[in-house]
Amino acid sequence: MLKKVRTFREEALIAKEHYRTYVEGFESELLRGISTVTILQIIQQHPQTGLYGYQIIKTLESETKNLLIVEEGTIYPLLRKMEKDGVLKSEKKEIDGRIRKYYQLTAEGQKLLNHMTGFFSRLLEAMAPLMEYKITLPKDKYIYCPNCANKIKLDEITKFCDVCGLYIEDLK
Amino acid sequence: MAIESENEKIVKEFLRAVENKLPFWLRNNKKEVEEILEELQNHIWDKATEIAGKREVTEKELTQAIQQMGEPEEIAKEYKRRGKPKVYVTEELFPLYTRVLIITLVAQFFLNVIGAFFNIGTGVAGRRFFSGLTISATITIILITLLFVYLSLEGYYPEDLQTLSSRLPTLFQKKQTSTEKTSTDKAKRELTSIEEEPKVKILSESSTNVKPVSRVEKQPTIPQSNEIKEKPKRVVRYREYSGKQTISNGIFELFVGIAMMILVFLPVFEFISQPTYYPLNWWLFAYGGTIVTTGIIKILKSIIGRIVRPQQGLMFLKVFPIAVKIPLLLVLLQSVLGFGPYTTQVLNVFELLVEKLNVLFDFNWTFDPNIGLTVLKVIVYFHIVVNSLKIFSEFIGILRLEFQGFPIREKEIIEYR
Repeated sequence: MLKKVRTFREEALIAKEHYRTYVEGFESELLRGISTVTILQIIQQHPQTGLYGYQIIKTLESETKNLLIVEEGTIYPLLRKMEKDGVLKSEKKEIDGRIRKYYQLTAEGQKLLNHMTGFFSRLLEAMAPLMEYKITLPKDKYIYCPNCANKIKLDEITKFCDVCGLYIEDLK
Repeated sequence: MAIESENEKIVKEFLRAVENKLPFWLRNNKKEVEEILEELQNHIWDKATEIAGKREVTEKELTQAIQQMGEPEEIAKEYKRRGKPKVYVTEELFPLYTRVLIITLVAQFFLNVIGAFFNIGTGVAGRRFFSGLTISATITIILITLLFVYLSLEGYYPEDLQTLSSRLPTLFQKKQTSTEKTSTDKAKRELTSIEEEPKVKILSESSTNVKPVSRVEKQPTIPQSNEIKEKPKRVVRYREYSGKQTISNGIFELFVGIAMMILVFLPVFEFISQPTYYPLNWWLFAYGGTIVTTGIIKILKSIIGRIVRPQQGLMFLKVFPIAVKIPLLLVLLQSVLGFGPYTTQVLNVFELLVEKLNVLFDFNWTFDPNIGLTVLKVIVYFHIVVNSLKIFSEFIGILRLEFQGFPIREKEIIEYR
């Protein structure tokens, strides 16, 4: 993130407060949505035990090779909001004398995550020609709902999209 | 031991700073605040332990961990991020905003009708009515809109202003309870809104030639402690801060006071300031001013939240506008410090009221000054007693804060640990 980037020369673009603020604002807006998807994705990987805030941050750092870093204090408001919204559920457990709040996805949260990841994947794919990179979606494992971009496992026994209700049997 | 307590002090200071920056609707829920702070505290210790490695955690590591947490303002700001923007007032607050606006405008309409009633026979009743309504409505719309924009920015939901909502007539109340009654409804509302995000237009694709694959579950990538001890659920007595009504009362009083201060200077209420009936408008203006001041103090009290000394300071300050009301009321009956008495002026307004009723409804009532004076005395003495009790209750409140802490109520909840 640009927030943590040093400036080496006076004539550098981000040495000017105006441009630094502009780019920081852009990154912050972009990362907000991405952080939500990524955090949910990390929590999804631990369906049985769940994860507590600090574990989520550490996993996020290691999985994204320290590129996607959320301001540590801001992850808790985000988790709390998602819990209030019914996306996450939590359970308190005491470990080594400390009470930890372990977060897990709810059934609705799982469906929302499928939609978010599907949407995000399709977005990246659509943007690829513009950004000059290549992206291959795992279409041998998933289909993406043509109506809402929901990501659906091919082996899932369902005739309708969980999110928008579109009939998808023919697409499989 | 000394190092430990110093370390704890550093963490507590940071947590207190975060707590003080939290919005009032959240600070009000003590249990929730405790949970939030507990999570942050655990995070700081985890981070500090990681930084220290095999060494003992010192002030240096804790300070570093706290720095990485971010500024208390930034953390608190994230908790305010609630509600979907709709113009400048959030979608959640919009129904309450429109209700408050409609009710206030209706009230102003009737107040102006009352004012116009006193202008009957002057030939300018209609003109004064419409000019009064236009001016008061414009000021009201501006003030209410500004207030709701502020509440939206602070992340308030209608349920955080319960008392204000409950003051509104049932007719308007029903609408709100049908959409905002439970947290489940709120969650459903949020979920629906997410699903209603703009649809993505993707060209249909052929995926008929792909074969299903078996499901592969990803294994946990970070070590989990095996020493997870789960405590059975237990019922605990939980102390909850009951200061939620303060902001609603403050907003309510602010509007009442401002309406009083504005209306008495509008042409439609000119009869109050006419030389024939003596200038009562300044008295009403001063009385409205005391209501506005207590309203502002109540709003400040709710913004400050559970900090003892500033709360006590504001409670002490609140005594002054209430105390000012007593001589203001007395001046209606007798002279106070060279001002008044305004008895004749009030009785003249009473007489005018009877006169206009006779004209309008063809009555044949005669105004009796003795009855008028008795009515005035009852009103004045009743309000003096009420305000004296209010002052007494403020001082009791200050002492209670000193010795018992914040006004709290206890309730039993089931806690899962």
